Amino acid sequence: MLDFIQYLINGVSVGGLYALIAIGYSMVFGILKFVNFAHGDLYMLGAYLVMNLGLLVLPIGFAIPAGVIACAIISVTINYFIYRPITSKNRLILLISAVAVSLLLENLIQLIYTAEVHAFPFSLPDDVLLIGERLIIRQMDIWVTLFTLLLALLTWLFVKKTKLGYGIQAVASNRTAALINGIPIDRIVSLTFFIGGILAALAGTLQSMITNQLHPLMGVAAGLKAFSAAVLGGIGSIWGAVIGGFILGISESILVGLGFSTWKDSLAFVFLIFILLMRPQGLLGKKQLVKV
Amino acid sequence: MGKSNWLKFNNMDSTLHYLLLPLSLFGIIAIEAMGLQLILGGAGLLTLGHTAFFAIGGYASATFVTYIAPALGFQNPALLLIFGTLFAIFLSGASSFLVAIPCLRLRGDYLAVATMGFGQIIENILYNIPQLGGASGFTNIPHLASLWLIWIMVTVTGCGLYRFYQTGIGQAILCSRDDEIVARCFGMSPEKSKMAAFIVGNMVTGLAGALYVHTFQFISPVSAGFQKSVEILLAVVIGGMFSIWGSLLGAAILVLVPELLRFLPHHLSGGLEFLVSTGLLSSRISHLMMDFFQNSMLIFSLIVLLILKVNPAGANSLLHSFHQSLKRTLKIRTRGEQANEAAS
Repeated sequence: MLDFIQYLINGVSVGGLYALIAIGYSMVFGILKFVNFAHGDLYMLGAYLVMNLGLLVLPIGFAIPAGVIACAIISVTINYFIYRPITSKNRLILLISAVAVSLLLENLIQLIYTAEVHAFPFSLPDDVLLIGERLIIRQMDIWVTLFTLLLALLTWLFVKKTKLGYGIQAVASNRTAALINGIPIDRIVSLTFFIGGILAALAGTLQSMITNQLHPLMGVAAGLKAFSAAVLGGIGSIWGAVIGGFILGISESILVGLGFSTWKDSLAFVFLIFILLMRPQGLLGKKQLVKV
Repeated sequence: MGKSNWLKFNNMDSTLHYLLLPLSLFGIIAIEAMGLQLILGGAGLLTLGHTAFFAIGGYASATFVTYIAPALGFQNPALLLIFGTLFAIFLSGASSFLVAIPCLRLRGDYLAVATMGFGQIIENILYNIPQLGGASGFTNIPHLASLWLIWIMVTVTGCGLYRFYQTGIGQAILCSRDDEIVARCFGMSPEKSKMAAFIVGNMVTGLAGALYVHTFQFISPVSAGFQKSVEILLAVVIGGMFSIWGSLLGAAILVLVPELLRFLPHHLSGGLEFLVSTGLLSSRISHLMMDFFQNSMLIFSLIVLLILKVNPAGANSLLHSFHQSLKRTLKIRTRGEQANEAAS
């Protein structure tokens, strides 16, 4: 039993990072109804930008916000120049161009920083908290989890309580009606990409701070798994993405604890296929009718 | 004199040897791309787990030849190849049927993600079966295929798929892609035609996998991975996803461009070094440029984005429209000449 609780604790911080990426996926999908395959690479790109600023010997309090915002601006730029002109034309083309953008980002980073694993200049203190006799909690896991929940709460408040957030909700629920009501759709979509970019870059930075390393393909697996988490929780819903992320992180950690560590990478996709078959709208999603 | 002749001959022989593997790979990738073309361009389904079926075909044929055939007791290489390939086609068809039942109920984006999930799961399963080589891959597969056989199969597959598009099922697939409701009104079942396209496309891919293992004598779980699926997808898009011959062009670009790019730094390096020595270019930038030309996936993704921007139907249709406009300009000129002649 005690082992089980230990696995739960280990999984929570991983789940938090999945949740952060999943929120971005979920918001972009909610507003454009398309899977931005390049989102996982923004996670990697954000970490690299922060690393680069850190290597210029900038203080951590400047390097992280600047890197994260630069990553968000790149996210908006990608949307503006690549996705926006084809959003209305053909869904297949949009998806393929997202895949191409993802490949482009990975290979650009490989070109500039080489394909090797890099050391990350910042790290979190790895003090350990002992509860009882055998339960071990790393303090950074607590901070990462709390930070994730705080970010999710802020995003939720932004979407639900501010005027810009109303705009996002309006475009997500009905594009044409939003346009008729004078909502600047292009700007709202850019805003969504901006928020998604910030969250992904923060997740990438946190992940690199935890493991102290980063490499150009770290976004591929994390991005695909986070998308599964977003679908699991109900795509388009912020708390759904958070719940999906935590469920995925904790179950992976339990699977590793039970000795099936080689099967860990499949778990997200098994979840994904099961949820798509059983309840395509996800755990917290609302059922959508397909209209002619 | 004799020596120089010998050198010349040896040189030509080595060139042929050098071309043998790229040409074989070109044929195999062309077959795989045709399979994907049927699913992507024919049925309009985006799959991101396509190479999983390539790996299934390869592993199936390899397993048949190394484990099942000795148990059944036949040794003839031709029979081994034929039955191994048939087994591969059967297994990839059967597994794609199993995948299709849940996946084809999903639309667009979800379908892409679900097939990607299946691809990842199959890669993970292959990693975890030690009998099939595990992470180090299936080695020592007998060399049974040849360049000629591969290119005969390319021709057969190409013509077969061309014919397949003209049959009732093929027309139903195209119709369901363009408009599901119209297809339903004419009594066709979009679900069934999508499933037919998915299974036939994956069977063709399984054939490519079987040919691959009997040419390169090796296959590893990486060949089922997401990265490979994306590569072949980009190749089909570059070539033109609405035509069978476009996938031939895409395969040519996917296989031959990296081979050509391998030579490019050789010829560029002199010029770049000159520029660096004169101070026009910093050595860092010249290194970046060399790396850029060696990173073929970077170039592919740029080409894909450009092609999608200019003409979504792909390079094949670009060539086609170029040909059309060329013909038109030529015709206009001849008409103008005719008018001149008539006037004079």
